[in-house]
Amino acid sequence: MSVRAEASINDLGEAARPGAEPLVKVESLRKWFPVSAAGLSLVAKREWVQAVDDVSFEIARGETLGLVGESGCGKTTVGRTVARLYEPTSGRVFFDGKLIPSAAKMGETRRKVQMIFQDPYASLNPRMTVGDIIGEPIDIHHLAKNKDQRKDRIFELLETVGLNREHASRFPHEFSGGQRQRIGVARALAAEPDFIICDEPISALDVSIQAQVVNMLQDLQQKLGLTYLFIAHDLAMVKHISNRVAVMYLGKIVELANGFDLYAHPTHPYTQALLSAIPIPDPSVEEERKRIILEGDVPSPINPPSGCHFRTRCRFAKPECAEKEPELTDRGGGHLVSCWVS
Amino acid sequence: METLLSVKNLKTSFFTYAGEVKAVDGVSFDVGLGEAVAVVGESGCGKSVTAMSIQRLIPEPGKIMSGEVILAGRDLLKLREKEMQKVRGKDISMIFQDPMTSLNPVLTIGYQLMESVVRHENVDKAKARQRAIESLEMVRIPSPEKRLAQYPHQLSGGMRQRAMIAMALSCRPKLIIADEPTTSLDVTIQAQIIELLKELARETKTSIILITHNLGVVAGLADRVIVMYAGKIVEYGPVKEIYADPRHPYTWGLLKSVPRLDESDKQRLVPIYGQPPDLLKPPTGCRFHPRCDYAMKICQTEEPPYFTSDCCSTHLASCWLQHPAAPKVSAIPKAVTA
Repeated sequence: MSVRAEASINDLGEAARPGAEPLVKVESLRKWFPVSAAGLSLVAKREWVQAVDDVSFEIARGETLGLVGESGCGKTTVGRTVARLYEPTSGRVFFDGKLIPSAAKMGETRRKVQMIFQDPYASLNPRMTVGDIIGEPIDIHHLAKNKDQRKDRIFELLETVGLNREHASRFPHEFSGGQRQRIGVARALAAEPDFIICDEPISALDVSIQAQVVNMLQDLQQKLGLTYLFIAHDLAMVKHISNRVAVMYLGKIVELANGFDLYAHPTHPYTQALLSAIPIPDPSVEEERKRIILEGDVPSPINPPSGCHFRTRCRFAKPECAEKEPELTDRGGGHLVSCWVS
Repeated sequence: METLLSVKNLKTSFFTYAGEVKAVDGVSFDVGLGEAVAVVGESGCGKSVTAMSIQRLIPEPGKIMSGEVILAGRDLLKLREKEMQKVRGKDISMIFQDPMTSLNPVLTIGYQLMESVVRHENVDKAKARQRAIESLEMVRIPSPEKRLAQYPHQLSGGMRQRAMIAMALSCRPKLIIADEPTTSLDVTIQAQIIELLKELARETKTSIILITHNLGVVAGLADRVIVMYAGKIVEYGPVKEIYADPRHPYTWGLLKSVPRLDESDKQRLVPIYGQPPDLLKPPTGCRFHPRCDYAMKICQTEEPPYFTSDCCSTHLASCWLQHPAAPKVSAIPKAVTA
């Protein structure tokens, strides 16, 4: 494996320096899914699930951007659209300064952008050996000259993710959840990517195993200079692994900031509620905490509320919130917030 | 505190084609009146099997091998099935993890709520309906009369879990067993449900057994904590003691392997290395020793008894490190840098 420039997760300030060309740049990305209207009307009105609606962000080389939000907020759709598993409805995605025109014309970028999926049981083909699962990207992208080289590369990848050579001839069902997730990581690394989209990579794992996988992802980032988009609903874990964190609500980014900044000074009312809802494993802290309990449920993304999408559940909502959509604006130091009130 | 439930040396095994799996192997604990006890552990540690054994809901090929489950003076394991049916839903009720799969999709919420009331209490339909409405009001569901006629799919995830809690409360049970009640819910909804459970416990003085793997939820809700590993209780004590002064290396591991939202600098997580053991052939001695950083020779051969600490007799840990002659490893180890 070619070891690229050493990038430490700690001197990320360096990588995220303003002016440096971001590795990934997303501009007003939209992904709407059609749904057929209810009823048997002959002139059926087309309705759209506005899964992702006008999302923009940048990820610097070597950075980890965390993407959090509750189920149905569109975070997975963002990841899949950036990887071009979905064709965006509108908006542009740049990778390494170049516009990705379409899924068919991705070229080298297809190899450089890889994914790790949530469910380690469903994302590995049960009828392929682990060696073939990891070898598939090598074959597709012609990364090995001959059979021996392919085999050596598979062994090397298995060892990189903390498994043994002997595991190459086994099948996925012989492994535990944490080990399967390691196989998923090895498969992503096989293509020698620059950018990995991690879609809830640890949600299906037990707590003691989560830490193993997170530590491994951090080590690999240091060693290989990888860039991550880390999608999860566990804000504590996202804050731990990410340099910056974007909070999504109903298809939009409502706040984007450095992880510590976001925790210390949450500005958007939704972020405040989300942070206060997360239990902290310490009874004396829990006793003193005041929770902001959000009333009701997330509205349907088919007909999201006018203006600010969060206004129906917001404590501070004013009449003008219903009229105009707030924009994501910089409140100083790269802390972006989309809200009329705060 | 008066004891409501007392579990003594409970053993439950599953007889699979590969051999006997001792899913619960000698578990003893008490639940006081109005107390919330949390059972924590990873998947497969036997926490759900313990809960199901209390209600005698162990499916084939499982069998409760021995032990006592004494609820308000009666040993439930000695009751006949007919009598046990009068206990389930009346004295003990259950809140399951996934409200979508544990509510019947073809019956209305009202029917499902009234079912247990009609069965357990000698009331007519109008009275049962009234009780169902009261239960829905208790769990803060708006316009309960309207909800009675609705089906589970017409409710959102959080509302469904509230309806489940209402069902559990409908016969005013003495004990509620909540098996991962918030695991399938989003955090903001989880916060709603936890607040609700807290208020209900205060109002109705119902005892709760909370089964979860989320140490944060435990900190906010429980009075006492039981930590289980591989079918055994490894540590047991008041919630503040467990978090402030954990004694068992497995508990240290659980606390150190999750990042805290309020951490101010990035510490490397300390994982517990290896995998949970195969219960078909559990390790000899202490079951945690193959994954323990502090394992001594004795840990490999002798099973540790429960040691109490000097400060309080209610905090027990099953670890040889607590033996007076053992080397002192008291603090949670600092993060190791790679």
